[in-house]
Amino acid sequence: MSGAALPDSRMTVEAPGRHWSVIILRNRVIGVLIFEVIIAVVFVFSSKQFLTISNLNTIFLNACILSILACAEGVVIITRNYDVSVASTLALAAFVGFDLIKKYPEVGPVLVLVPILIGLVCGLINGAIVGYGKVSSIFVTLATLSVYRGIVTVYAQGHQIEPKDIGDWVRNTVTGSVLPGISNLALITLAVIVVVSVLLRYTRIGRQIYAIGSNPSASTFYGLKVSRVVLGAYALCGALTGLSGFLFAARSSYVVPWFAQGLELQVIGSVVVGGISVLGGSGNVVGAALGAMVLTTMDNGLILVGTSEVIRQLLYGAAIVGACTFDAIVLQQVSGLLKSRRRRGTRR
Amino acid sequence: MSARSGFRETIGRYSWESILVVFVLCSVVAASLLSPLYLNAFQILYSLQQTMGIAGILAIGFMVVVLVGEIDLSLPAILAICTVSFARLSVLGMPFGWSALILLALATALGLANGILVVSFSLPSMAVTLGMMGVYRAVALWIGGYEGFGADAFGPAYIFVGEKAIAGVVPVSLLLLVALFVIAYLLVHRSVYGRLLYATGNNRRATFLSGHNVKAIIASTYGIGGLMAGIGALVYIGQYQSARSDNEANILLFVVACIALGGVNLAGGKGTLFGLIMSILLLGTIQNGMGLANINGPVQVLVIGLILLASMIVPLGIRAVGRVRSREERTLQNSASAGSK
Repeated sequence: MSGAALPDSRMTVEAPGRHWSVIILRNRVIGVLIFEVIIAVVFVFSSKQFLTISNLNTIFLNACILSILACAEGVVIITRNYDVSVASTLALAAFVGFDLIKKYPEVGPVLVLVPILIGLVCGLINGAIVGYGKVSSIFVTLATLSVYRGIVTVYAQGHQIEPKDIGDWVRNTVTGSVLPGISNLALITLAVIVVVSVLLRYTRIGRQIYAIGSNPSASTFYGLKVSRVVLGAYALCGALTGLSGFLFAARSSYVVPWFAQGLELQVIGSVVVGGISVLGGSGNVVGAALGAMVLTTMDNGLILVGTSEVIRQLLYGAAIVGACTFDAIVLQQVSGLLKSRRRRGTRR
Repeated sequence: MSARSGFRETIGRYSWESILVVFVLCSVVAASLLSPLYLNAFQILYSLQQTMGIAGILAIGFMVVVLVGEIDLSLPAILAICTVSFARLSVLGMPFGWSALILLALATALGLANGILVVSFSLPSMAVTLGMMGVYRAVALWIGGYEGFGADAFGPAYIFVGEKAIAGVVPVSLLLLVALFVIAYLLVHRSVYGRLLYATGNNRRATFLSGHNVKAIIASTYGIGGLMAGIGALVYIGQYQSARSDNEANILLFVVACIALGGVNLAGGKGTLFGLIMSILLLGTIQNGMGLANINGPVQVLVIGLILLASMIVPLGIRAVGRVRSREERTLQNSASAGSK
């Protein structure tokens, strides 16, 4: 993609570790955190309702589901692919899962596995075509976006899931709290983020995911099974999407066939804002989760301030464009630095 | 013998397109068996215009962008900006000629803005245009408001292109689509610029090294995409006589299906306009047939999505079979040459 760009390789910087671009790249997550604090402070001063316990609670709980989705999408984006079918997968998993809960209430909590499994299957289909077929991921997932959404609509046949269809155990698991004061939803989200980031950072498959995203052809020559790892990334994304479908449906209590339509823009937005480069191979899921937090805070604050939907939509779009422009500039600087260092190394 | 091998070669080179021609004929037969209403020149022309008029115009622009290996997801949003702006200008009483000129220029500029953003920082086009889609939809919402505009907003000159039919049979927008196809054919297959599009899509670096301004070429394709979105808006306001900021929000699937089914390589540098036309006819016929057979909307979307998936999976299967066969041939040749020694 970046063949047209010729980074300036004549750049000479004495200490590459101290260059501003390297510092930013290393501390990208802290940057997101600082940004979050700044916008929070702005909203505290511009709206009285912002800094209340109930509002902060709302922001946090709203951000939870988006965080899990951003985690899931982040894993795929690190492999230099996209998954725009997350919202449809979520709807399919949530609808079918809750339909089974409605029909077979006696089976009980084992049914949590149904949405996760459905999400897993959806992810496996995406991953198989992208990984083994070497088809551009955006087109594949655009196709499955409509296929999954179509399946939900056909499956639903005009019905919807209403609050009375949702079992008590569901509501208790998601909105209740095991630890006093902390909602289970937050605990689940935290667990997912920790598990996924440990998986990415400390396991072999996690490192392979980064390697493939940062240089697919080098990974092939190194002997990594690129197709299989991409399949794995999509499968993980699908399973997590299924889980968040369950949580989202339990929280909103209503599931309709057009559930969560258009959510993929927010999900990709939070991933990009959270510092995972769309060029693959950099960033981490903690950043993506924080990105989701930033977008939710922005959304909530702007509504409280009384901004129109126009501005909010504009900001979502601008956030994606701005964050990925910023990342691209930093990345160009860093790759220029690496090149100049390599040249100095050969001269010696 | 040579004539026959020439024919075979042509078929071989345009194998995908010939498969599509067969499919189109099959779908026409199936549709006429499915519904007695199908075989009627007026019905066919009208439904083609209804289902494929706007999608076809957008597909031309999308194909040019895809040929250089990029993607522009914001085209439907640019279309929405143009529809609401057309309505706004019509309400203000501006003559049609002026507003068409202004808005087509605006659409081109919006497309170019994407392109310039992509090439100047060498950004991934998918993420940028996804973001710009949000930005452009917001602009459309700002211009058009939540209600949008109804039929009374448009002057008669504004809806001429999308609504009228010459001699009551041939819709003007279909003629426009045909004209655009001819222009696009000349541009893509018969001009230096078209060759450069393929060159850029196939090997960007080689094109750069042979002295061409790759960035300008890529940015210009986005401009063409934007222009097509503007023309699509012109057809839209006549066809539906309304304008809202969420116009054609779901058309992207259809356009991408046309592109992928038409044999245009989504990684860039491969595909012909003839294939695109055939796939548009095929999808148009299928949708028309489904409509006549009373198949409801969501199922139609499901079918189109499955066709898009199939159009990506089937070539993979063909390629895999071809690989096995060429390997067999090679071993045969090797054994033959070994025997001759």
